[in-house]
Amino acid sequence: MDAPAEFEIEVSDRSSDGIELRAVELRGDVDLAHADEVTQTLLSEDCRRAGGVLLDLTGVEFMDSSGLRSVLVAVEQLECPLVAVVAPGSPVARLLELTEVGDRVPSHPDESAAIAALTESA
Amino acid sequence: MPNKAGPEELELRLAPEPASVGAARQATGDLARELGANVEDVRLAVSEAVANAVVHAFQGREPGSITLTAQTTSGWLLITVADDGKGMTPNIDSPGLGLGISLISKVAEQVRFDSSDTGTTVSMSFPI
Repeated sequence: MDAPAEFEIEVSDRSSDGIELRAVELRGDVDLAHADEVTQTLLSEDCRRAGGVLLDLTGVEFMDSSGLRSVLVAVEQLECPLVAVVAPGSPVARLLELTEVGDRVPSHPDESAAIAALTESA
Repeated sequence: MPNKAGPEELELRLAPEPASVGAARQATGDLARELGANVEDVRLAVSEAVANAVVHAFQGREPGSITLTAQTTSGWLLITVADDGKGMTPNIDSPGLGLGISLISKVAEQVRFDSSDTGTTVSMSFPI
């Protein structure tokens, strides 16, 4: 029996073209058990004060609508732009396609494209 | 605690708490893999069904029970998630986005929702 992928959040600061970005990386399974922590992290003071939030979802092995809701709430409530890094064909990419909310979560297939999008919109 | 009813069956008694979502997903995902069902579809559907029960079934009342059963028949994996809560009611203030039911319907080959004021049962079928 495979053990469930352990959930982790890692936050760091980045800077691009003079714009301070808050990078949030999620790893493992993102479901109801972790949704509140994701929301709190994305809506923290550090994220609110940043020029943009880079949300790396490439390490997410599973996400359901509870996890997705956390991301959508952050996109809606943050005044700064949030851009996600979503690997093509990944579980998150599939979830966005199934729920048809991909247009509400700006996403790019790699970090450099996501950062470029953030700096353009900041 | 999980109880294997048979080599290709499963019965889980789940506490109405968020951690039950992952436990249910793991157990049914493992079973799906053994049987050759689409593991990701099963994992997503079960995650949504159990999360719905945890979040909605016992709002405003004492926590009850959630039971997940899985069994095979004639080329199908049948999974049910049943609670003894208050039943499904329209809730415009729902903390969810209403995506759960839609997702279950998209990834399960067949799905049925049976709800009354004594509980809700979600029955999902996946080809194997």
